Amino acid sequence: MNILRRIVGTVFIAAALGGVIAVERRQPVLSDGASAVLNSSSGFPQVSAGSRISTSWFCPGAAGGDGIDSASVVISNPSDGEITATVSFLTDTAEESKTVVVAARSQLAIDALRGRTVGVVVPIIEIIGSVGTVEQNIVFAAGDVTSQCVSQTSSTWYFADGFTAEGSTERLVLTNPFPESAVANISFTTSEGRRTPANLQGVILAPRTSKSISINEAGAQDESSVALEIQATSGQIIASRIEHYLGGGRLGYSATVGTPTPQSEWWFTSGRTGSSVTEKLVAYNPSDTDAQVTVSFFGVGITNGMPLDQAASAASPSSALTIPAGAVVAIKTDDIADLPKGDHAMVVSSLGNARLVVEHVLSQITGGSSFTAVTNGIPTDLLSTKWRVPSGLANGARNALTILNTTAIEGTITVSAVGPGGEVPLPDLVNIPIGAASVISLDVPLGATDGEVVVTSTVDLAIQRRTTRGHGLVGFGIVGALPVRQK
Amino acid sequence: MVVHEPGEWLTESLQGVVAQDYPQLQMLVLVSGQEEDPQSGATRDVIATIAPSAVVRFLGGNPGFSGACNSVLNLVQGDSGLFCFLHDDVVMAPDAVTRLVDEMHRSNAGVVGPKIVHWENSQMIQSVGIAVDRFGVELPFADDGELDQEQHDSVQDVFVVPSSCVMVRADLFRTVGGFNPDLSTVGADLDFCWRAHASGSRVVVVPSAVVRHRESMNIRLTDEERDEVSAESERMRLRTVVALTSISQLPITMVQLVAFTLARFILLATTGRIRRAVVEAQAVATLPFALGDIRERRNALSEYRHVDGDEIRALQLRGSSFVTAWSRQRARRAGLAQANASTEVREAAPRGAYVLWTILAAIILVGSRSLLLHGVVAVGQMNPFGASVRELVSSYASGWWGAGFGQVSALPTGMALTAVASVGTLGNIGLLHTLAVVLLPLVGWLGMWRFASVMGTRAARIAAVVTYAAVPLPYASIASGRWGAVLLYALLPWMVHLSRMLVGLADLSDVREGEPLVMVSPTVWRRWFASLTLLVAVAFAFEPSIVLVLPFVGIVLAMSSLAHGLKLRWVARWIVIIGAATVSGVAMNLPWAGTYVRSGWWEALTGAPTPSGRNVGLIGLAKFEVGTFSLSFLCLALYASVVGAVFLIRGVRTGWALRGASLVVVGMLVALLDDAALLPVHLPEPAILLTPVALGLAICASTMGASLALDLRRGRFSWRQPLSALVGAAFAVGLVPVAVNAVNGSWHQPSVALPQLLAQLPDAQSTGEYRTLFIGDARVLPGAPLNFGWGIAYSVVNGSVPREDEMWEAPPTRARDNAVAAMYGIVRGQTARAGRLLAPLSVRFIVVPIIDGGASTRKHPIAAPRGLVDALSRQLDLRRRYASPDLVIFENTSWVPVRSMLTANGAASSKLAGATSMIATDIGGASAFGVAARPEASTSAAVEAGTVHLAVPYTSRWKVKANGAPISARPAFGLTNAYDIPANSRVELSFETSMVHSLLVLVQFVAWSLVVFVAFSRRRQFIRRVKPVALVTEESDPAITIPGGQS
Repeated sequence: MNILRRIVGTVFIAAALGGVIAVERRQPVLSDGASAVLNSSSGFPQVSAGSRISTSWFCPGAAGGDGIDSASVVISNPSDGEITATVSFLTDTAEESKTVVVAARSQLAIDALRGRTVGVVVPIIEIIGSVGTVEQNIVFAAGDVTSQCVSQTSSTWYFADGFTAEGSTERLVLTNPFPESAVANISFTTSEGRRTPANLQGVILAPRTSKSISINEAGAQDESSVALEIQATSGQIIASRIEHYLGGGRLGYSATVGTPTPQSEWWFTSGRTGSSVTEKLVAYNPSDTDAQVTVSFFGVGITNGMPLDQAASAASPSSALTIPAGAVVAIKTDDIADLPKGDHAMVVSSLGNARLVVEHVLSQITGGSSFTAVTNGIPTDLLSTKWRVPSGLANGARNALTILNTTAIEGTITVSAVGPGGEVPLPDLVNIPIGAASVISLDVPLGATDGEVVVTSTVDLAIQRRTTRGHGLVGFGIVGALPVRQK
Repeated sequence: MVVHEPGEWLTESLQGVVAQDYPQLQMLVLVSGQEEDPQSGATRDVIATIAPSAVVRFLGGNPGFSGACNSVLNLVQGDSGLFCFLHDDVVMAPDAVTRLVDEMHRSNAGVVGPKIVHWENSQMIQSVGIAVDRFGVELPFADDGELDQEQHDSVQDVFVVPSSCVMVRADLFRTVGGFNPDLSTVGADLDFCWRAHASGSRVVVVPSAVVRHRESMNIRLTDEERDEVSAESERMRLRTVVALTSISQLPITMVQLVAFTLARFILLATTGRIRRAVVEAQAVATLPFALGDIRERRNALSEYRHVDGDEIRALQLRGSSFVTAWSRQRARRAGLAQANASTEVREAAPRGAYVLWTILAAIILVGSRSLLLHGVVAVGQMNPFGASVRELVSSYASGWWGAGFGQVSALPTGMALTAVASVGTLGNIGLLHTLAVVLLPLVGWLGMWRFASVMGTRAARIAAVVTYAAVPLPYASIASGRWGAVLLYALLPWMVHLSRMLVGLADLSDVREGEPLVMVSPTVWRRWFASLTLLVAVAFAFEPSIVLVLPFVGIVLAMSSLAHGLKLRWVARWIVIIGAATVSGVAMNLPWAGTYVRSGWWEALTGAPTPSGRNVGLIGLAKFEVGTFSLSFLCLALYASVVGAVFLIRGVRTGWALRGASLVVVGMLVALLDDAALLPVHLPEPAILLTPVALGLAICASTMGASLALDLRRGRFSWRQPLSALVGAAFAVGLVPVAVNAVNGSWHQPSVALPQLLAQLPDAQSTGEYRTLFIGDARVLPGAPLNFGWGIAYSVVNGSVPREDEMWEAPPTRARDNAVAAMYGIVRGQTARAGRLLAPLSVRFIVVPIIDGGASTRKHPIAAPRGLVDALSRQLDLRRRYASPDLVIFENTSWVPVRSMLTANGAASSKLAGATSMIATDIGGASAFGVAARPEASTSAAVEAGTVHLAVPYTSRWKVKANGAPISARPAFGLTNAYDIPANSRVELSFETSMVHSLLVLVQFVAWSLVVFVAFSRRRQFIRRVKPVALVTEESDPAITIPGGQS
């Protein structure tokens, strides 16, 4: 055979062999899978920017036995067409449901208690299509409460802050919206450590029911710190907490859905320090290893508590605090040296990507009375350039929105409200400048419509709002706005 | 003398007759063809010149030798003489007739024949009479070409004398009615002599009478015609045996004949002589079609039979002619080998092949014993066929493809082929299923044996088959249920073999330096091409990825040939032939193949991808790790043959060494690229991609086998010999695992596979027909998985396990789009009500398989796509019915049966289209409207006024009649079929087949029949050419009159 042919053939094979070896050296990659559920922040209150077939909203529910005046869910339809929604009311017995139509550019409030004076009612709203947002409102003499609803169930739920001291009550509401039974194990952590009461293990939730569990009666009576952890061993559930503060430095009422997954970073915008203010960041570390966190503050003249000459500046971290494994630690902002009195925003960050649950508790004595606002933080993944407030803002309310620019660049903010004419910018709230890493509070101008409020910005923001308590009560509640998730 | 298409030899033949010293010889020359033909004139001139006294008669056509000879019955008057029949290529010694006549008188024989020697060399014997066993198998007393040393020069009784020169008593010839005119080409002498024996006449060979025979007919015949003659000879032999054996001996002879043929078939098939095996089997199988002819021949014989069967049997050879011939041949070869030992290289002995095939047969039997006894486990693509032959045919003809959500469409050709194939198992579909798994490797080995004939040595064939059998691919594929890969493993060698013959690459000879290229006749070429097309069509019908694999193999072979120096014209020819065969094979699968003309056709051919790659890795691929196979690492030693082929092969076989090595390396590279998901498109599963690698290994081994047997032994001692010894040793190591794995008995098929785990799902008979949506990793999904994205695939089956028609991917429909949207909602978190979206499509269960027993095992599990089970768990209508490490089953609480009566809510909701109505209303609670055995079957039931719902994509082909009155269909949910029944009535639901579909199926049937006819039409063409003509009639005037004495 011609030697040239042999060479050509051998080169041909050698080249292919070289390719084989080169390919073999590469590293494999993982496929995405069902990424929607893999995203650790998808279980938090939010609005999806993309199109959806339907959106389920699971609200925290209301306890008829607490003596509340009324409870309702507000469905907001900012679109130009009507939307159809199915509203189900889950109780510990039978389920009721009805289909409602929400007219274009309007809101619809639906009574949740439906005459019930005992037991817990948990509303579930399923909106067909992408548009529409939902919040729950409770009217109560101890202070009205606006609560966010979530769109996703979970097998784990956490509550960092719990309070049963001096007659205060805490109620855990577990809801199983599925057609199969769910089983949950509940544990709580107090200052004395973690406890797993036998009667809270293997709690069976019948299909399409909700169950209320008194934490006081479960063995956590008169505790100033009760962190809860709920683990569904079968099925997925919604866990919410209803608290009635009657002493121990707290006064008021709250209803909130829990935190489905611990996060490494939490943002709060409605912080406050002062002589009559008690502010705590309650951090719960559900993991088996200690975690270290830092708290950074944002506000006028603040860089980590140190007065500055500049009007605003990016925050730098405080010294690290240790949160022991399985423990709850209350970080009192009063204890942070040189933190100026007044309003501020905060971010709690863990080192080493440790996962924590952090809640913000603000109690203030004012005018001979006091109030307590408890709110969940905002995960970093949910920082967004667009936010929605389904229930809208009270006409003329002061400091109704506290907005933190989480970036190091300046931006502008526009606040709009949805009314019969569609989404219309509010007067004086168009293209408001916001500095890098700075916080601003916005008042709602008089004459603004009562519809859903939309905040858009050129930079990523974190937004919480202050709600009125009604009934002539002093103080405010704090509740987050709904980030419009772009990713 | 019978003259047909004479040549220059005629002169000498005529001179031989003229020169006879027998005084009373009269010569009658019977010439085929018309007297007016130009060639006839030349023939007549030759005869007139050499034998002016001869009587010449033109036969007007070609009645064959027997027909021509029989014309003497009319042309010669008188019974007291002798007839001596001659071919026109026989030259008689001057005293031949005299000696024949003398011996006839001396022996009182009825038929005598001379010693026939070769035309060119009269020292070589051609025939001195023929012995015959009870089955009519002939055994010449002397081997053809045997040196004449007077060792056969004694007068003796024989059973047959060749018809090329035979002398017969005229009265006997008239009594027995001459030769059988139906045996115009072959078998006439056996039939005639047998009947002569039966009439009480002796048949004697007279060696002192010598004739030379040219055998011009054999020389004139093409290879193809020679094959046809051989097949015809087989058929006629058996018919003669049945027609002439006495009635008392016939039953036992028939039993023996069938048993003997079966044994021969196995022997021939396992030693690679497939064509011969088929010919002999066909001869037996076609006997019933010749009963009329046999009966006539028996009746005719009964009129002059004077000798009973025992006496005839005494004249026949005891035992088998084959065995005797084999023993004689063996002794002859041994002698030749001894004589040539000092100068020739010893080729592998034939017994090597017998040993090889015996071992391989044992491996198949031992390795598959559990499968043969208990059936194939329904793992992967090896789902059992649930339908009967009638149901398969009925479904195929209906035009309703029930796969997935159903649709009006041509069904896969594979269903029809399965029905046809079941004829071979007498309609036993289960047996067909088992054999289709167990025997396919054997088909591949036979193909490799056939292919390796290109190397020109038996050692090469043995090495090729051993390597091909040692590759773990077929066994691992059986273990993991990759039936498509086993099919390609079986067919690819045949395809490459046919394509190389079509290209013109001839068998190699060890003396040639360049690769020989030959052209065959258009008839043969057409037949080969039809065969290749048929193979591609069959492969495509079951494993559509063949349209990628075969061209890939063709391109690699062509490119490596180009690198080896083959001219571009031949390289292009290779590509064009394979391309044309591929296109033709696909065309034969029309109309079903037409469903591939759509978006997503690539995935339909290649199967659902694994976007992140399968990550089997180079070593895993090299070990053919596509399923469970113990000691597979030892198989890496088989690659030594590639090294050997590249570095050791010299001479003419380097071309094939390069082609084999290229197939291995390029095939492995492509498999690896796909394994790592580095290609812009995904390719078929590794088991498919590795078939060319297995083929390449076998080709390399084949070249090594030839080289070890010929080249290296002849060469001087150098580094090649030790290296080849090392290669041989490594190669031997690679053979061990197959034997070890055979011990398992089922090729490591799992004892429990996914269908068994799904047995817990309810029977459709009790709850109504439902569908199951499988979602998860494409590798573990049953049926025909479709890619969904993000590493997730899905498949939809009716009931809990796929039917046979659900093994192919059906074209998309609106129903499927709707299901995909629902799944999108699940996976991307866009709805918690996917269950309600799937409810109108009768999706009752959603299953996430994790361990299927094949691709994914407890030892090597393939995890479910990340987050999938969680995403499903968040669906508000799905109830988790079962969860284990093997699979998770969700039940859709909103489902409705495929054929159902909707609830009032459901009926109202069905009048609206889109997700709004489906999500807002729970349509669950519908009652089943009958249960159909097959998707296209009709059902009827007495129902109350309401809405009948059929969960198939909307079509007017499904008809409903209420008390005989037609009810028009309307879209339900904007998607499916609904029929509003106005009052209580008996309702019948049925499918109406379109005429167009029926016509297309008919056209397809005709197309397949034509291709099969062309591929297997050798014999018929030849027989047609020699169809006898009856030009000499009883009314003909006598040309010769025999005087009172003998002449």
